[in-house]
Amino acid sequence: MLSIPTEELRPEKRIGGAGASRYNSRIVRTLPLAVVVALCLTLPCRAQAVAPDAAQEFAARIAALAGPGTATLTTVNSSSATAEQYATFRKALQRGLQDAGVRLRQSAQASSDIGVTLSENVRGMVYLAEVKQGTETRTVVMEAPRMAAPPGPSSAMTLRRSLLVSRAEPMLDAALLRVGGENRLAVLSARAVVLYRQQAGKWDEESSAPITHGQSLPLDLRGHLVHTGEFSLEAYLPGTVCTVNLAGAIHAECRDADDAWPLGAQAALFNSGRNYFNGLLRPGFGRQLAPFFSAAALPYPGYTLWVFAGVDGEIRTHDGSRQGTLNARDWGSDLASVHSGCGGGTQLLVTSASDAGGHDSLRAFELVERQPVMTAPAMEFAGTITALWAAHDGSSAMAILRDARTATYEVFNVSISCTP
Amino acid sequence: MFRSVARRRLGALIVAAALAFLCREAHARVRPHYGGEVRVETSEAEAPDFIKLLVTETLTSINAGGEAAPALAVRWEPQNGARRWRFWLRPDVRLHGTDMDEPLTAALTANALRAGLAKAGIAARVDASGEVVTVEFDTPMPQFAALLAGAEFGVGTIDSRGVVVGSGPYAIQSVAPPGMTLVANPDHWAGRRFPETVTVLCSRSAREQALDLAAKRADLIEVPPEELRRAQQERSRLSQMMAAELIVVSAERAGAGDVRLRRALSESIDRAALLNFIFQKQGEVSGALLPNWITGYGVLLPAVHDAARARQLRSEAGAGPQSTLGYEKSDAEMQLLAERIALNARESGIAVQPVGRTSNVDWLLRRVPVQTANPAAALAGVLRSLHRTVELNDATLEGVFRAERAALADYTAIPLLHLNRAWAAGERLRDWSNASPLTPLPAESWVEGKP
Repeated sequence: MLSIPTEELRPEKRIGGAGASRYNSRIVRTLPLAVVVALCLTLPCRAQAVAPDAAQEFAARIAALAGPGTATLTTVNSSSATAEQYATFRKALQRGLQDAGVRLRQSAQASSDIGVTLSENVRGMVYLAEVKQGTETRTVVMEAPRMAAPPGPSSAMTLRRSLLVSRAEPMLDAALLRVGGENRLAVLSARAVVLYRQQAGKWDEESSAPITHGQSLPLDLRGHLVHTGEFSLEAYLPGTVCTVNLAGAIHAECRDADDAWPLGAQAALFNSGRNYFNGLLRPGFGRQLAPFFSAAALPYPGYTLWVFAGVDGEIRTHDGSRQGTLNARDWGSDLASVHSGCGGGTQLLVTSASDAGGHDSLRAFELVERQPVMTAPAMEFAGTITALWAAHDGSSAMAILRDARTATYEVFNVSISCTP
Repeated sequence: MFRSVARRRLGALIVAAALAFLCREAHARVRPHYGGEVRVETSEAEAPDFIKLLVTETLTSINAGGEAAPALAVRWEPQNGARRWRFWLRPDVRLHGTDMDEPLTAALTANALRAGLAKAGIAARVDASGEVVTVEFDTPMPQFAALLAGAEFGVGTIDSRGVVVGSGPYAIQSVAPPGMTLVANPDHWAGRRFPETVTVLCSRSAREQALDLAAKRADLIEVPPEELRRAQQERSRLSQMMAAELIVVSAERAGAGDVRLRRALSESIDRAALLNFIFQKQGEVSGALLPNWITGYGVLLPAVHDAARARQLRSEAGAGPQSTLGYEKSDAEMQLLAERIALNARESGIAVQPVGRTSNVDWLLRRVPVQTANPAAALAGVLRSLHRTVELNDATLEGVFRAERAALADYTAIPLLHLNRAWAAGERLRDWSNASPLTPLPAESWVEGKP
């Protein structure tokens, strides 16, 4: 069993409260809730509350202008930093100035007056200082990483997710593997299969194999990793299939091909110039289906019910002999089955969210009398889910999230836990 | 001359009716669909920059963080203190068009760059060799990679029909003034865009655009700053709003007084009143040329309103002759601004006469669009619009700050406001949440159903 730190779904937490003043509005959004959710849910994963190195460097640059001696220090928060973050920044700045030989006083007889403003721009924080000595005023302008919102309180939820890795490059699929007795994570992008090794609960990039393809790829690019053995994977991209060897140094052999993509017990032909499967399945159901974006299998005694998210927005089912339609117009285009052992045993994870706010969600459903019944509350994501594939052992799903605010992609492992 | 277009106040009832129509949106997130048509309307007389960039691409682009990112160039390298830049072209890029299915070469790229640089008034030598284009300047140009993302540096040529041909995600299918139709380039190196066609209708008044959107005859329209508040109240489907239009008073003649008089004029102006009463608080008062969301250092260049000091400065400078403050005659908001500025100036003893013309004036009230999130490129663009130059030896934020402060030091450019800009979309346009005034039609957008 792979050991992955898990994060339970947390309620959304708003930032920018009473202590967070703004100099002026940086970017005003029509639906600010989306931005708030993005800030709250994504930043705690990666950023520290304050960048201590940046504050130290800033202090050193101020000290270089002020020189050793006494100084007054006035600070103003003109950013979205919380009162707590602002206090941390101020403390780090005071410590840095004192380390650099500046003796802070409240007296008007100090040799320098230092005015510091904590500001921000589209890229992150901006530290501003005005150092006044007599009639002369000199300035320091320095950019620093954005500060993080503090984590919110936790509460028990049925859906669980674990953030595995985050990259700037778009990712298409990921697979958790056991290779030579060790945990590995393979991540597929348009250009490479990247292998990660788990160390101290964290995934570190180990090696990568470049992917070559002879044609331009579609804009809404999709790809799929298929586990074919302990030391091998197959990577499917539109018009390209790669065999990935994990024994020794990772290596990928790619060829231009329109092979059907394995989707469990079925394989489906993908339209290499578009972003969907064209409806041809092998072994199939005796006739071509309508084009679809994704498919998932739900096992029932004596048969398997396939669920297809159609390009036309319809959610269709096929049990091998009969085709049906689900009343699920609010489902998104991506779905995957997860065997949790809870309830009926296997649930459908589906994307579903308004596209107006730049955030997405996953919900779990079971089908009761061929109609969907939600079995877990929605798990909100601070971004758009760009890919959702069932894990190769079927016990979880891999979700790729695009965080528009930070322009990064994140791989989540999503599972369903039973609650009494 | 797509920026010098009349902006008229809309009738309240018309806008309310038109924009209220946009409120109904309850889409689920689905993967993008191919096909369909996006109908864009603009008040400009020419296609806006984001449309031009669909046809003729640039060597670089600006990413969400405001940094230069690869586009037609896969990499670049500044040399000799940023006086020499080398750009490596993306391989296997082809021009589109009926008779232009040929590779994009370094020679063609160099020709396009020469034209763009000449138009921008930047002296440079451009050479092509193999897959590399080299640009050399006499002085450092540390911001050049970011500057190249501007539409004026689009790489293209003219085909036998006399139509502009590029390598972008769309090709010009037909031109029928005041509009044009673009068709998707199926072989675009970054992947085919989802809408099959994009039609652009220029020279549409704001009122006409709002009516067309309400009647489902348009999918994407501009919303002028003075109508943003109403659009928000009506819960219209708006893009991100950004303070992306600078309102500035620029000295057009050396005779616009000495520096004390110019400073007196600056400090006499009650910018907050201008913003509140004329633009319904849709923007920010500013003492800086660049908006704070780009730089973050706006607090170091504050807008000062001090009528008493303005009177003192005017008194020190001596009573000058009455000066003229010009504005675009057809721009109702600029006329109101000019009249209000003249009133403020008079209260400080400065004689300013508003006139509805843009030439032969002492001062000119201008609208200057901010077209990039890169601070160095944005400053260069704004200064170019004001026909001013400033030496920028350092493209870091601190370097840009020093250059901007230097440009403002003599008060020949008096920033007043940064106005919010936004676009509005119809309900057919999907995956549009990343839209902004800088990118009104994001690459991931698509259209649902038939018009």
